[in-house]
Amino acid sequence: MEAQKKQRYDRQLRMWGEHGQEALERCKLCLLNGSATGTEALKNLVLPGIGSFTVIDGALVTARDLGNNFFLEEADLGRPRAECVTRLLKELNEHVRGSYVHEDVGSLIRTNPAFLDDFSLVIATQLTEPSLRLLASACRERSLPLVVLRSYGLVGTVRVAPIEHVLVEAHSDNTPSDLRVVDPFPELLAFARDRFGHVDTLSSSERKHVPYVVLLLHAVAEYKAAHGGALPSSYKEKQAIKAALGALAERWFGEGGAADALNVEEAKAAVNTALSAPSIPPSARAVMAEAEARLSAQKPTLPPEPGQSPTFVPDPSTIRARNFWILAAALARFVRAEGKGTLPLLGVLPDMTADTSSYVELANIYRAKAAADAARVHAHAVAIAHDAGLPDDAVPVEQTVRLCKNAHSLQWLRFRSLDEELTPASARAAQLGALLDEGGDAPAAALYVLLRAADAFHARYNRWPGTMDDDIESDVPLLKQCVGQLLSEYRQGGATLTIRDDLVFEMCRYGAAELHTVAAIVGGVASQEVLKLVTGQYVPLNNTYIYNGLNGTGVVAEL
Amino acid sequence: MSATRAEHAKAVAGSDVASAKVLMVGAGGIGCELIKNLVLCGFRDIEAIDLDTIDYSNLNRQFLFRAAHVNRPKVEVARETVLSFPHDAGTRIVAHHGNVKAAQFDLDYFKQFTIVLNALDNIDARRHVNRVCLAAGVPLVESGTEGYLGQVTVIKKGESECYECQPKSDNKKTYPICTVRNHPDKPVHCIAWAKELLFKKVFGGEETDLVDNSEAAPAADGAPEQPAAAAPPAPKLELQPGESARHFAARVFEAVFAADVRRLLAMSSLWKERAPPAPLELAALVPALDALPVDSPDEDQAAWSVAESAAVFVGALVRAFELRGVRVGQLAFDKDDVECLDFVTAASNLRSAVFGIPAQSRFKVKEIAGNIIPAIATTNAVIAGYIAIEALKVLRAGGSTAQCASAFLCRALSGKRKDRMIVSTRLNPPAAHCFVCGSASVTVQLDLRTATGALLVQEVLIKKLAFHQPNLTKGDRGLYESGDLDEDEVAIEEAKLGKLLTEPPFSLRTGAMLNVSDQSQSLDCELIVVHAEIDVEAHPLGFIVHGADSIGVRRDAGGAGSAGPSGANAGDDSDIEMLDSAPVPASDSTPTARKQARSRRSPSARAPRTASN
Repeated sequence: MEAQKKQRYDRQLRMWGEHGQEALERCKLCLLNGSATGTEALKNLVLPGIGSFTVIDGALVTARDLGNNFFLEEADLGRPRAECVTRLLKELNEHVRGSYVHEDVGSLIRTNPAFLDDFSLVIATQLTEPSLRLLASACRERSLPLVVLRSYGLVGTVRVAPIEHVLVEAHSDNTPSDLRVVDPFPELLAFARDRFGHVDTLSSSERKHVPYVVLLLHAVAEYKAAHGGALPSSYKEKQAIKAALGALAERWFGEGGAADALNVEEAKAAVNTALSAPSIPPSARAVMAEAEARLSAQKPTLPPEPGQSPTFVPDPSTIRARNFWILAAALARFVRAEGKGTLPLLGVLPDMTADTSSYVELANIYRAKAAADAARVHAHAVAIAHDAGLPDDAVPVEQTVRLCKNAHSLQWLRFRSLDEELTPASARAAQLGALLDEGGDAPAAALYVLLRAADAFHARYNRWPGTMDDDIESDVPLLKQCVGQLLSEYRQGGATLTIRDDLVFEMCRYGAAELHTVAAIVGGVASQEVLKLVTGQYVPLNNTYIYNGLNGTGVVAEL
Repeated sequence: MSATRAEHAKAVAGSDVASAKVLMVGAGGIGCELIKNLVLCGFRDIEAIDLDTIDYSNLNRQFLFRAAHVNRPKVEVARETVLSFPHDAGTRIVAHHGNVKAAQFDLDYFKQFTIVLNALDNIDARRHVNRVCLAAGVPLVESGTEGYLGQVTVIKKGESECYECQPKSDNKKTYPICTVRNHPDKPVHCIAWAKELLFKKVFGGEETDLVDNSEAAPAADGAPEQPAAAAPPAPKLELQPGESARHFAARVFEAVFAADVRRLLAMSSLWKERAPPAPLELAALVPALDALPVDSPDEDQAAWSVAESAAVFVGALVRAFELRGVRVGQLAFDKDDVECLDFVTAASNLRSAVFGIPAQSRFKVKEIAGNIIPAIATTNAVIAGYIAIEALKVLRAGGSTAQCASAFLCRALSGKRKDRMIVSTRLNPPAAHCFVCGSASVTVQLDLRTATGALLVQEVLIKKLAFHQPNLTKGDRGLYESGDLDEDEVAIEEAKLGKLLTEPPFSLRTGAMLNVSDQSQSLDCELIVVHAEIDVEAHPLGFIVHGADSIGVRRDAGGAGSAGPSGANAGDDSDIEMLDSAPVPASDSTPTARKQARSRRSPSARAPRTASN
């Protein structure tokens, strides 16, 4: 990466690395509708350097737009909104290519959905429900990730809607402990034997600097010898190991002499985690099983087939997904063969009391073993790629290493489609019911139903509730009818929802206004999720975020 | 426009923004988003304070700035850019390029505002604004972001918890000086050495010995254990007139990576339980010194080899002193200056090689030496949106925080609250034990046999307790004054700092009850000084504070709003601190030091820190 870009992107490279940045810079983004909500989201993607964007919008700039959309100027009044916001958004980052199409989004989706083939991700905002459903289906046919956002008065939603998403780097705060004390590898055993084989001959001070890993190995070996090779596994047996460590300390330092032997304390504290056999989390197991299933189904490497447009070129995110599945299958093979049921070693030695040279040596032993495991996984990946007719270097080594380092946190997320969400037979009434307790006087579930009711209102009257001159009141009963119909649908789905009249009035009062602050918040959340999808790092939300500006809460539900 | 934005805000949110007067402190990552939100909400009377100028690395998120604005004051450009877009008629933005702690921003200044909004990046300025807003009775919306995490809360005297009621995670890393000088065992020790000691010696002309001789165990007759330990240190390492930079680089290299290492080796007691260091020889690493290319290497992500580090070490000095013509005292460490960063990276990695510690990439060294906190636009956008929403709520309630909430933007979508990405909670009531907004006193334990005025005033009062201009009295006797003083008075007060606390003018005995007051913060509190022997391993600062001990003095990263100095030492954005004053017993063992370092850096990886970008 060139120096100037490195400097510009320094603060974000520390979150997703150069490989994350590269993925971002290859993304071809499409924004449908350049309203305030849309431009607030797009701004946060242009700044970190998304590859390119195209704004599609058939609207002309109105006074209302000038009031809530930062990326417009007075002189833009009456001009195509797509053109105007694109001009100002491009100014944010000279590395980003920007273009626009002045065309009505709804009719474009109906008449020519093939326009989507040019993009790698779509953000849609402020669409009516029929257009949105058509768009979602078209995106799904193309395996094109879609993120939908909306702000409506003091309420906002973000819907993350790819078909599936795979990720290697969850950046979880919890790194699993992987010391292999239970089933030590030969190099580790040799280290313990050669450096600390004669622990009893060490001086008192040297004893205090025996790394706790070695103490645990020692205690486990003694336990196995005394129990016919059985490992300590139950709570009680682990307590016995702790007692044995205490006894060892007493033998070494005399009664009470171990008080300042930090290494013994560290060993005791680590008994619970370090003595559990290394386990494979269910989510990682599911990934490996799916990878092998795809492999045996003769389409090992590809996510669902892309659209059949002649201009279709596999895009980097497709390659990322392909390599993910190859590597996950390679991982499964490793687990079955060399790993003997375990994932590759993480190779990270936690900080511990030890003299510097033995700590460094031990850290190197773990690192070398991790590298050896990764090399094995890579050999499997090369074989799989080869069998699939791909070049041997289809999967770069650094991807293998990264996957091995994150093998515990691999994830394969599937997202419900908008059709599933919006069709009464498959709508998740129960999930919605659970949201009734969220948000005090204005439950998230109620806001969600009200937004859908507003959509139904729009479908029926071709305008938003509360937008007829200054007459808000007369729309209230009409919106209530729409609410009632939805509620009866959800009731059939098993959820009894009630919606207070004052909230129906509140919804009419909004008159579908986009408030800048709500647009900024919803746009911020949506762009954050887009970054997660595009970089393939951090876990995106699945699948709906509901922002409640009446009391400042935000919830996530899988609807 | 048909209706003004202010009328719109009144209609939808019920808040009278048109007549509100708002102060925004900080015009960085959060500030750029916030000032846009304020103008688009219809606020018409805005003042903003920020100390910082625009850096290239701000452009990935501070969207009101362009490359052409680099080096200009953030607050002025933010004002210009926002006003170049549509705004309500009569909108007035006043930009103050300065420190929020400056005398002009006194209590009366703050009292004119309906509400104050913090968009800051450092704890020190946040504590100051917190105190002034409490004294002025003005509601304060406080905020911070770090990576994908962020938070917002609202503070008002008597209604809600203040910024200092709750413990703040103290991420400041403190290392005993002898670990850094004599027996490092972590990369960060070597980085601290390179940045805080060697850099200041070579570029700043500081006369410091890089070896700590106090660790040389005296032999029975009182003589140093080996003659080599007493070998004279190089008092100064400065480029001599007529000396080529290459020759100078070789001389520095020999002095610090060979001669000093041999002096350390002579302190044999240090190496009984540690692997001894190994001196380096420049000729072996850089065979053709005169022909060595001096360009900055491209490699940023992978650690350089020892030979590469040696070459970069020479190259950075040649570029700085010959090509740029830097003179001693001209260059302060700047993480974005390529010569500074190359020099510190190379020097720390060479030192790591001496002590058998793994080398670090330049990218990583920059992060540690520059105390960089990751930052992106998305988080700032969400948090600034929340600040504006909370501000609207305060206005709607006529200045009360009754409808307000604290919000945390979370990353971990797991556990009990996995369905909540933004966790919103009621504001906590003020804590009675808080020495800032409550009435509790603070007790400080220190060793009265050695403690000086400097320890009490500079370390305890200013750095630990965040006083800006403390005045210290005992009964009706004034002990120390700061603030509005003339030159002679300053000299008198400074002379007091060198005195022992048991000596005049302090004459303190254990149990002494003092009063600390600070007019700039309208804060005073009772301070009790108690004598205690301090275990410097557990408390490397050399004192223990009760009643405020959970409050950190961590300095957050630059790049966001900096309306105050980034921490106790203005202009220094490091969070690595070494302690000269704390004597460390010769028995200080490597692992224990490591353990200490660990326990200090462990907190808060999960909770959003109160940083801001």
